[in-house]
Amino acid sequence: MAAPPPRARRADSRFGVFWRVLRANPLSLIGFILVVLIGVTALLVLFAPSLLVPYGPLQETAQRNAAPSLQHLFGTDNLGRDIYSNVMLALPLDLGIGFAIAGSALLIGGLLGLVAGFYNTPGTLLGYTSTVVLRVTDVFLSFPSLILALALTRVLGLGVGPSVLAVTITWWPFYVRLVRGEVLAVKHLPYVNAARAAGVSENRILLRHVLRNVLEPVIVYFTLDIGTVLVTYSTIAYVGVASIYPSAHPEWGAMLAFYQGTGSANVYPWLVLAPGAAVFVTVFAFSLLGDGLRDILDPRTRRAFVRGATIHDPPAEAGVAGPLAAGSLAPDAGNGSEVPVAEATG
Amino acid sequence: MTDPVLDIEHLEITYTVGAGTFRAVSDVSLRIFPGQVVGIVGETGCGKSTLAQAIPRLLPEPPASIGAGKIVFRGTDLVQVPKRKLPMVRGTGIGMIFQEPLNSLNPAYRVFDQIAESIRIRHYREMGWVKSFQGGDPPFDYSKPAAATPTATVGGALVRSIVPDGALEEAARDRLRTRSEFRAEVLEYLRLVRINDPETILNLYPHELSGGMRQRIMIAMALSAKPSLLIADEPTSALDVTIQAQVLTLMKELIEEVDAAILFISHDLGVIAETADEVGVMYAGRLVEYGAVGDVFRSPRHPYTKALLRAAPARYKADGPLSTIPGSVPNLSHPPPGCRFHPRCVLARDVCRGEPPPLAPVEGDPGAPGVHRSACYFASEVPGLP
Repeated sequence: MAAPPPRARRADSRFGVFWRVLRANPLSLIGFILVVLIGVTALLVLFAPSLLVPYGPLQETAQRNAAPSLQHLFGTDNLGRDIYSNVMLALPLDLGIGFAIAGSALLIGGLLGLVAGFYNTPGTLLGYTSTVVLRVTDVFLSFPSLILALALTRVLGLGVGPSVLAVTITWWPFYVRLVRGEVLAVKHLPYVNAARAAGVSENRILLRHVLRNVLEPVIVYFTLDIGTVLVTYSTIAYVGVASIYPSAHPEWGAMLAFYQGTGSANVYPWLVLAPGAAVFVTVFAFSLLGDGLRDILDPRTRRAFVRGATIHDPPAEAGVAGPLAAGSLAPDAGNGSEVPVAEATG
Repeated sequence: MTDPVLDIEHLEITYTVGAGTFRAVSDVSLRIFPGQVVGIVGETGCGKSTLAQAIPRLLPEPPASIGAGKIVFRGTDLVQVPKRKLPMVRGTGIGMIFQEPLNSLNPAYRVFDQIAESIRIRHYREMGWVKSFQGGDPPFDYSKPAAATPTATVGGALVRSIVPDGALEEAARDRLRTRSEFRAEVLEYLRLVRINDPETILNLYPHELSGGMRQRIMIAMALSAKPSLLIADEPTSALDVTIQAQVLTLMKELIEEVDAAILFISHDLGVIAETADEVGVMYAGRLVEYGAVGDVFRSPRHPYTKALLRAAPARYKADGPLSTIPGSVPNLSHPPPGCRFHPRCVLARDVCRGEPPPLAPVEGDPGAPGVHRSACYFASEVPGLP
């Protein structure tokens, strides 16, 4: 039988699956589109600011305290600084901060969680390591992370870098707990033991069999977490220890804090509404995407959207021995039956 | 006489749970020769699955621990093998089929990847790229039989430090396997386990397959590593009766085709009767009777075996209630002294509460002398089956 190269077909169907899952889920589709928009906007602001940012961050225009208009989309403040430009300029920074904190927390916490969950045999060196990791994690988790991050900024100093570091230091323990819990749940499943029986080494079991099945909830959590990180960072910035506003590098939380602090927000609400909405939309977009990712990453739900394509539409190359060869399930006009594949008689 | 593939001697396995210890397997000795199919029967909790998993050292230690005894696989005592070397024995040396086909396949990978992994492991070991141990003498000589090839000149120092000498030349000879070659071999094994339309099944995920199909995939995986001993731990128990029959038929056919020795664990007497050459009956962690299937099932020489046979639903007659064994399985944290069956045994006398009876050859039995053995002081008094 002419064997069709499976790689080629699988590769292009993967994108199709992705698209189909999104289309079936309007909310995750919105989330996906928003995230793509936000990402593209951030890149444009970063590399071609003249397209989207009409004024400089500190540029004082002639119109002071102007209401939103075509000229100043989100209005201006008491010195005539354009709010829209500042919100846009803050986008790449805030997004970068979100990814940097959540990403490094995922890497550090995820790695420690994998080890702590998988090699937890008491009495071994790795077992002791796991215990130490978990106790340290507990110490961190016993503090409210926001308070701890604030306290750390006092030690680490002011500015974006130290604040990011401070939040990261409080953030990784969540990932240790999450990943460790998932690993513990997966490592006792029969297929892990079956892999062991097949001669797969322990390290490979962890990296290939356990990690792959842990990935899905972790990535979903990560996506949702970017929003939470942004809110936390903005809060720290709001307290006034992370970013300074007005500056050449505006940040949403700092903007909120500044305009609320000057009291002008009561009279000119767009000053706080614009950066607030920016935080909201970003967090919202990632939350929606996170839910959609869950469906895309899980082979079970994923296949629910492509079942028709895989089983009932025989690939042309497969020729005569199509999926519904004699003896298996009766063809059901190409779409209907829920039965995946009939038990083939031996 | 050829050497046994597996020679278990006086194996003791205990579980430590909290303060209590459970003696799951006590003083079990068992030999399996090449090409032989040995069955183990017993009710739930008699230690047969513990025994099955202990052979490739798959039991989590702790809580399980091997207290005493030997598990000699092709000349090497696996009890002495350090943990990190055990994967080298598994798969290609001792293969295993589990009782939960529904959960024994990784849900994240397609059928192809699952079987290909097993084939790849064997292939790498055959090529000598990774260490493997298949038993034999001398123990722990992992290297391939010395190939008379000169030292590798291909590749730099780094490559040579990872790949053993000569392996690169060998790879050039045998060619690196491409995906399509793996695919052909995967298809071959799918056909071996009688899967219709393997080309399609290849690309499916486990959850898209029925229980019977998944069990076939499991069997294909185990066989594709070409083990010299295959342990089937209740391969049909989780399946419904019709699928059971199909898988069982398949197993019987495969036993003819595959040249591995097979240890077949089941609580189903019928399954063992149909597949095995010899059978061991386990009760409360002990082997109570052993012999050729025909001898044991036709003329049991242990009261427990007899009671078990009488209780099998196949013997159920419409005119009477189903026969049962009075009493219940003893708690293995405090097993009864002596013969563990004596509290439930009709033949029990004082001597049964003393020393546990050894698994001794039965006298006056047809068949090869010394094969049929029973751990009962009154083996000759066990009444025949009605």
